[in-house]
Amino acid sequence: MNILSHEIIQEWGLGKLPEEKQVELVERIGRMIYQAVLVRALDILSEKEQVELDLLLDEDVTTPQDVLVFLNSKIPTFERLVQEERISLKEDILVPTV
Amino acid sequence: MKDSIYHLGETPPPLPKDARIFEESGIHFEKGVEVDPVVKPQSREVPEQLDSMYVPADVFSKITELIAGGNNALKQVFNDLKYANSLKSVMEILDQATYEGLIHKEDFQQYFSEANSFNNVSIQFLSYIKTLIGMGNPRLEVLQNDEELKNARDEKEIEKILLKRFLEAKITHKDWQTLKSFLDESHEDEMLKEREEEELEKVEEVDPVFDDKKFTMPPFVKVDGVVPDMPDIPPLEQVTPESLAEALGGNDDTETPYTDEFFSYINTLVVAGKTELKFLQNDEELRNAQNETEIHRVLYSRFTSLKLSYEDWQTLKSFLDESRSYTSEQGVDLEKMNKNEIPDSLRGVESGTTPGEVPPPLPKVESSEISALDKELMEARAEYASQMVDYQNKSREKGSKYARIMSELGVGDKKMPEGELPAELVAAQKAYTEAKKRKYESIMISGNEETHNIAGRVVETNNLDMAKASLSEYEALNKYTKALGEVRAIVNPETGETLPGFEINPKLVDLSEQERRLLQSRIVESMHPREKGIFAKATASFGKIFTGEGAQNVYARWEKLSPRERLVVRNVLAGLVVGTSILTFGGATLTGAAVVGGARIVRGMVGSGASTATGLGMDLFFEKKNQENREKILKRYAYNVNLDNLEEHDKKLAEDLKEQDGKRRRQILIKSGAMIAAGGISNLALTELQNLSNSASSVGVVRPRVDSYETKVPEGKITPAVDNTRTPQVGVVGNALTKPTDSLNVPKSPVQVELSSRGFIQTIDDMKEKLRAQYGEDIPLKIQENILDKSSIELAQEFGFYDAEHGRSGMGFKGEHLGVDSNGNVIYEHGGKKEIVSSEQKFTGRMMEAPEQLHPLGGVETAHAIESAPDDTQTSAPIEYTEVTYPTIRRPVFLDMIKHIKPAEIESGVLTFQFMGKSYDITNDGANKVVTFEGNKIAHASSTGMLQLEDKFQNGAEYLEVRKMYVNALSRMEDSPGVLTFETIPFEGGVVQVVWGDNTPGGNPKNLRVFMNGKEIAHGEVTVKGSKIDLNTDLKSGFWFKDTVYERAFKAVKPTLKGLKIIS
Repeated sequence: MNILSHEIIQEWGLGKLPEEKQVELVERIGRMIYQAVLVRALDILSEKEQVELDLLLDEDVTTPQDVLVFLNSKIPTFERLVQEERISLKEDILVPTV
Repeated sequence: MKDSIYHLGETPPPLPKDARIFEESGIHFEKGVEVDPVVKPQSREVPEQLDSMYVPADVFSKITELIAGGNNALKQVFNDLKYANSLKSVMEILDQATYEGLIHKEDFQQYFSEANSFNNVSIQFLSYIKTLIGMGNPRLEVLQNDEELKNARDEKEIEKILLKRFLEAKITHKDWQTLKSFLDESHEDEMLKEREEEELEKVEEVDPVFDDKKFTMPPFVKVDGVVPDMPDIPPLEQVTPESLAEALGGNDDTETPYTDEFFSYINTLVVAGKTELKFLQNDEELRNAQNETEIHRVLYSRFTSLKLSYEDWQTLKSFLDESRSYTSEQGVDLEKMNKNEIPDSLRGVESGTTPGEVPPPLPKVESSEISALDKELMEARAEYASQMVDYQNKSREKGSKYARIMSELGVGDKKMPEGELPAELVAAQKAYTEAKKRKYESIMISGNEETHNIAGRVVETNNLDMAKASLSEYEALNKYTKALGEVRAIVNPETGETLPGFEINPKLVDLSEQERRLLQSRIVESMHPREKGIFAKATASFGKIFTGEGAQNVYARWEKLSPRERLVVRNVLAGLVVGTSILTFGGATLTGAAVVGGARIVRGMVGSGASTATGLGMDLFFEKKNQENREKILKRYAYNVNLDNLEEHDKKLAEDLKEQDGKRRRQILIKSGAMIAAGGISNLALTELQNLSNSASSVGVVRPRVDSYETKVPEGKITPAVDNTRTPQVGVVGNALTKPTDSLNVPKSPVQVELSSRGFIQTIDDMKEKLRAQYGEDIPLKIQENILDKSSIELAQEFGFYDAEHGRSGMGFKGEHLGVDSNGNVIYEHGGKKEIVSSEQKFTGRMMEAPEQLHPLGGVETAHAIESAPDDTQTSAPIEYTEVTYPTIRRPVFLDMIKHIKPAEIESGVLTFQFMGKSYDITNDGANKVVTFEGNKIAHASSTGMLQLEDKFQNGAEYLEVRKMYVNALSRMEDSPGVLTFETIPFEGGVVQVVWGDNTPGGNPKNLRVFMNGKEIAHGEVTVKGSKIDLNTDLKSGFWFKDTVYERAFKAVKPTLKGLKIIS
């Protein structure tokens, strides 16, 4: 069973790795971007918005997706911010295939 | 003697003894030097060229003019000027010429005055840049014609410009540092030179030997016009390590012969102008190297620590390689060494290893070298983190202040606009990135990530420099370089797309994780406790997806996740990893919610300020004025504020606030006066005003115009239970013709729901839901047959709540109920009465025209559009609602009939149509209808009733014609009742349609669907609060990087979907 799509494998150059490793790396990639985005986003949020986010996170059912949607609703440049972090990470971990 | 300039690669003739060399930058060696110490005067002969970049054009013009005028003595001056290597030298020569009476100072007065104020640093600096370019650093070409740099007055200015260029990514960090160090060294050299000149002036004769400390030629000094002899050294082309060593005063006995040779070579290079190699002369580690391998190792170390450029590293390496092959039998091959004295890079020849040559052993990176990079990275990280924290603290402080000010303005929680990052932070970030990259690369090398060929040469590596150094084939090198540029992923900044040819390196993921952890920990440390807490919680929420931390068993845990859970994980990662489609849509949803929230805020604000009719009116007036003022202030302060000018704005804002406050006070006085004056206002007028307020505050824009409640409700029909101040909810039913039913005969109504403000259909929906909840699996047959088996629309029509033919719908009041008894009878309870409504006993209350755009079914829901005013708006001011403008409504395009053709005609047989010179057929194939083109089925009637294009034609330019044909076929279809297509957008040859309503049995009238060429691609609901619609999950790319055709289509209609809501 292919958990990851062909596109994500291609996008992040995962093709040569076993599937288990692919999934593991995708999660780690997600985590890294997520955390980087958080660090940057927290600085942009107002105090009130931070409190709102804090309350949101206190809910058991809150998922990272909810967090992202929240941040996206509060930060006009959020998409760009995520994009920058993705690019930054790519530059760190992708190497050329000779 | 040849009177011309030698060019790159051209070997100059030997230097004459009396040649005068001004050597500082090495520029003349690069260009070649032709020496003509004494030029015989030739009458009226103008020299061809004065190729010294230090000689200003006006000086040159004047000199040539004077020579042409017969002053042949100036030929000597002309020749002297050829060797001027600085403006200072030019001045010295002109001074000397003046002293000798060859020229008159007045002729050059303008130049002297200008030269005194002109700093030649920029010229020297540009010369150095030119040298570097000549040595194989084309990256610096961008600086060659940099006007700003050319006009720089001093080193500080140059440094600023360099920083700017670095931040603009025009030069790399490495180049920036190299150029900076040149400036520093130049400054030191200048001071040293001045001191030396002072000392030299004290002696009568100077022996200009090489300074074995500096390895540079001393400046030329004339004493009493006598040209001193040059040192007794052979011409440059004949310089050998031995001769140089002799000239330099011998070698250290402790050094090995091999090292001697190598150092001699370095000295030669330094003398030849490669002053950046000076540091190697005092490199203890290099001096102590006992063999070639050790030298290689040290050189490599210097290269990786950025002390040595790649080109210089290669030059030195090639010397070692070539020396090795000769020294073993013949000692040092002088010819070979001479060849290397002016390296290829200096001659402008592209460096590169010769195909087929045996590579030197790869240097092993020692831990100490890694530590040096570690140190560099640590420092860069610390600097970046420090700058970031500093910026965040300042930003937070000023942001809080800004928010407070905005709050005082009454605009609530307002963030300070994001400003430009400070240059220091950007520079620190860039330096950190560079350091990180170097560290990663060094680790990759030390980790033996390379693949070697049979000869031991690296043929595959993750390090570009290593690849350059090791790839044997120039072609391969070229290809490699071309493909990469640098060893970093090349990513499209707009889309985030990575160019092909890159792959993930798990080791780099490890490193990156570790590095990010280190950096983040430093930044998070300095965060406010609240932010820290949020960060921790949010991070934990990510871990919760996998029910545990750690990545070792992710796959196993993933496999255990349910499909639904997995989907969530996929979505989360897709949102992060692949793009922001989820975020975008999430944003759209939130936007919808925010609109509603915004209305509430407005309502609250306005409502709180309106206590009486007159007060309300005045408040509204002033509120508007105040609002305008606030907006003006906000515009002024919200759009132009940043960290730098906040203080200034703060003061101005305070002044404006003060003024605004004064205006408010005046308004209060005016308002009070107005209220007193309006004391005689009639209750009726007041009531009218309140009614106005109430009616306007009803949710929605389009609603039936109704007269006052009192005028429409027949007397005596209103039960005391009905509050006569209530707002009509469903219009007027007081004169309803519905036959009252004896309450005794009305069966018990086990299930009852209050009329929904969204209409009768919604009420029936609610009722059905309640029935199912109440009865579960044991639903009485009658209820099942009479109610649940029928769609709400059918029931609404059956009971007379909706007249589809005339597009009219019934009206009711809030507080009225619809119920069902155990026999399946529907009971309408209103005004204290209970009536059975059925196909025979239809609702006979007031009917109203249903605005077409309100509901696809002719306005049944619209009938209930007038929601009772919320209590908190009873006295509130009218609220301005933004009317949602729907696109022109088009009838749905369904395949029930074909236009202008009787249904019977299509019932059997095939109809042929022409389109773009081709024909296609619409066939009634029993229950199905299909469209065929050239014998291929291109579309069919789907279960939704839509004419659906076959999937294989949905995407691709090659099927554009088919899609156009499909659209043509679609245009021949007649509409079906029950749904509305209110948006049809051309899309890649086909169409995307937004359809509201559902004509399938039991279908939800609130359904909102998107069809792409008849294929349903998205579905959701539209309510009074907004729309919520999502692309069908099986069509989502999830992790796809590029959008599928369905995603593209969905995006095309997003503007329509966004903000869509039922206006009731």
